[in-house]
Amino acid sequence: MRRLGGHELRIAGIIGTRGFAASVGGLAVYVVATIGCLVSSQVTKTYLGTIRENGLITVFDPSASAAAAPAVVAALYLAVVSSLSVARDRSSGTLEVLFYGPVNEVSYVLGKYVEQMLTCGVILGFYAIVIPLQSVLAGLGSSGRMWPTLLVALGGASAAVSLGILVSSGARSARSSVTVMAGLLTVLLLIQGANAILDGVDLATLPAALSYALPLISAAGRVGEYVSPFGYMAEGMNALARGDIARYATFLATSLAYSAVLLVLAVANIRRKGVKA
Amino acid sequence: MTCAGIGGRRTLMALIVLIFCSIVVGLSTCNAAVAPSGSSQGILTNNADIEGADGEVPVVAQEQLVYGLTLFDGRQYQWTFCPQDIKTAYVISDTRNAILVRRAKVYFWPITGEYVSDWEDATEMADLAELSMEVLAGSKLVATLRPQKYAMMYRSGYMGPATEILLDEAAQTEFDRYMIRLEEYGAAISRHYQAYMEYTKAISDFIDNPTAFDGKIPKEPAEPTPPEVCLSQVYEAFIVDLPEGSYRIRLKDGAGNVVPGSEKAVVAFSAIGRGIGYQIIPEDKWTCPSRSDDTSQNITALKDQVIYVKPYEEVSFNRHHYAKLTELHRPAGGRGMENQTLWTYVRPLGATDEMLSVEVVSGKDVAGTAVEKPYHVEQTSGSSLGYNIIEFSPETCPESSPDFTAFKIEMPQNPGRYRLQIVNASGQVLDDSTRELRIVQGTDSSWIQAAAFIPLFVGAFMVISRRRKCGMRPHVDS
Repeated sequence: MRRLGGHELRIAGIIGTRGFAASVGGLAVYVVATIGCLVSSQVTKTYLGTIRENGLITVFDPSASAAAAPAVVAALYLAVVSSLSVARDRSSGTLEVLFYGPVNEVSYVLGKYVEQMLTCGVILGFYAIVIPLQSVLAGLGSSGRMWPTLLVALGGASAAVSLGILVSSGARSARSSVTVMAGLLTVLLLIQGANAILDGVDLATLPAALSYALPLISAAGRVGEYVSPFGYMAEGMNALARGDIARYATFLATSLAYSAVLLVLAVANIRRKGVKA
Repeated sequence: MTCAGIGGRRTLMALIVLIFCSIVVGLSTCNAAVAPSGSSQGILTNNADIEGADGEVPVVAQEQLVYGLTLFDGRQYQWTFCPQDIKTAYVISDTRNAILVRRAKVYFWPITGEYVSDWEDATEMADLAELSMEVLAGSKLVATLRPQKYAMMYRSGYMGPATEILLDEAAQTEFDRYMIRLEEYGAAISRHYQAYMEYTKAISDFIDNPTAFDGKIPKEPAEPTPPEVCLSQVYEAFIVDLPEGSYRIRLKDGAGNVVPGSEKAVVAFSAIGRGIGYQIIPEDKWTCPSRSDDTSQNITALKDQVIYVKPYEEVSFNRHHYAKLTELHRPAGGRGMENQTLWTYVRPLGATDEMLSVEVVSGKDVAGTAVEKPYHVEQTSGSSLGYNIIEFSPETCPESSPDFTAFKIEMPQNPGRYRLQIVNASGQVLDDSTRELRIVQGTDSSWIQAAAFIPLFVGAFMVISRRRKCGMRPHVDS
């Protein structure tokens, strides 16, 4: 593969910052950040209720754990928006116009990635302010693990954005791209949720037919650890909870590698499919 | 719409229908396959019987070669068995496990989803002494085992767990000693019975004529204590002690032929991790303890709370393998647990000779220390519900033994972050015993949700100021 040129990075930067400026100029980003913060407030209240009821709770860190669910909200939004990006530009003819200029597949895909990651930065910035504030208001005190938790969210979001760009690069229309992405995210979340539920459920109480599906769910969960952005996020949170620095570093490296691979595939997809609608 | 678009949509629809059909077919197949293979021959259900007033569901058991497994689960020995339909057994690596071979009647009981064997009436293999068990790793012969004498040891009495297997001469010698101890105990019981008869007679005499005893009440004879360490009978079985790995076992008769139906796969698995876990008993909910199994489960508690902690030495295993180890006769056991980990408590800490204490530490200062004590739970009298947990004392408590023993921790007054850790007699903190202890106030404020709208306010401000800057005020067309 040829090396990344300086001008490609410069153009990617321009595409990214312009797209980012357009994103923060609209209300969507703030609405998503608000939804995320509402989710975290609900999680915080749940923890609070448990502590009041039982006198104690045994979790890794109530404040940092409250940031995990909003991180999924951010990743979902960014994945869907990313899945729109290339397909919409292609169907509207913007992609073709851009490619008459100095833009090529690499700079374009990188630009889209930069745009979404900057948007992610804004959402996580709000989380970094609001979630600790909610924690203090709830009397849970401050957490020293908020920044490492947000870094986990950033790694997961990076994987989600890359997946969105890859799906978008292969789709002919924005509608089909979003449909595929929404379906894919739903399946991945269902697998992850089913695995999480199975972890604590008494399997003897399950219907027999479902019990026969368990190995399938378990195997899908194992695959999901490698292909799902939420799998990477869960792995990062586990590493953080156990204070396992090597595992945490591995999570960061693998989520970046996952993003890089998907972006390379997206570039190849655009080359194969062309820029015309 | 283009032809390609229509074609794509049709393909997508076809794909969805295909997936849906696969799920339906798959689930119906699963339902049909709920009873394991062979069970259709093994179970006869008679509708007339079920409908009748004296309805019973007859089961037809098949006599087959069965492995009776006495397996170490990390804490004690448990018994399960491996019928013909189950092809793989699971053992913990580097532990002694006993495998008995019997011909027993086996049937599948669908109500509880498990195989049941008539082990009481199982017959020994006629030529057991001539049998040998081969253990193979791949095609390589690892060991050839002969039946060995063994006995189970119950260090805390018969009601306690079997924690050790004694082999060969040691098993026989210890068993003989145990029988002597039992005989001595029996003799002591007879003597005690005799002495007690004399005592009751003396008491009657005392009541009739106290002056004859110089006012001294006859003393009740002390009851002899039974042997604390108990042993099972000496049995004969194949003893396997395998390093981690996958193996095959099979039986060979005296002529060197493989016994039909004796071949099984054996997975010897090891512990994933070791650590110290806590059982945490809140004072106001002593029957609902929480667990903190590893260092990722820190404790967040309200200030002024009183908790009792019971630390345990623990081991983690693959949950699927562990479930198969403990309930191999239940085919659904462990299904879907392949990716999960399970912590199991091995033994309580603090019951050892070493003097341990639990410390609550803030920075470098020790905010509180607790040592292990026995406690008694006293129900409050009258119609009011509730109880008090008081320190156990044989003199003052009505019960002969405490309800639990634990380290009592009173939470610090000041909210903040502390450390909970176990310290030994020389002041060293035990590995994996540290948990973050976060003391909170826990105030349910409506501001928690209000704070969530900060991003929306910022966004609205940004959008409005941007529009003002660009001179693009929104207006409504009439």
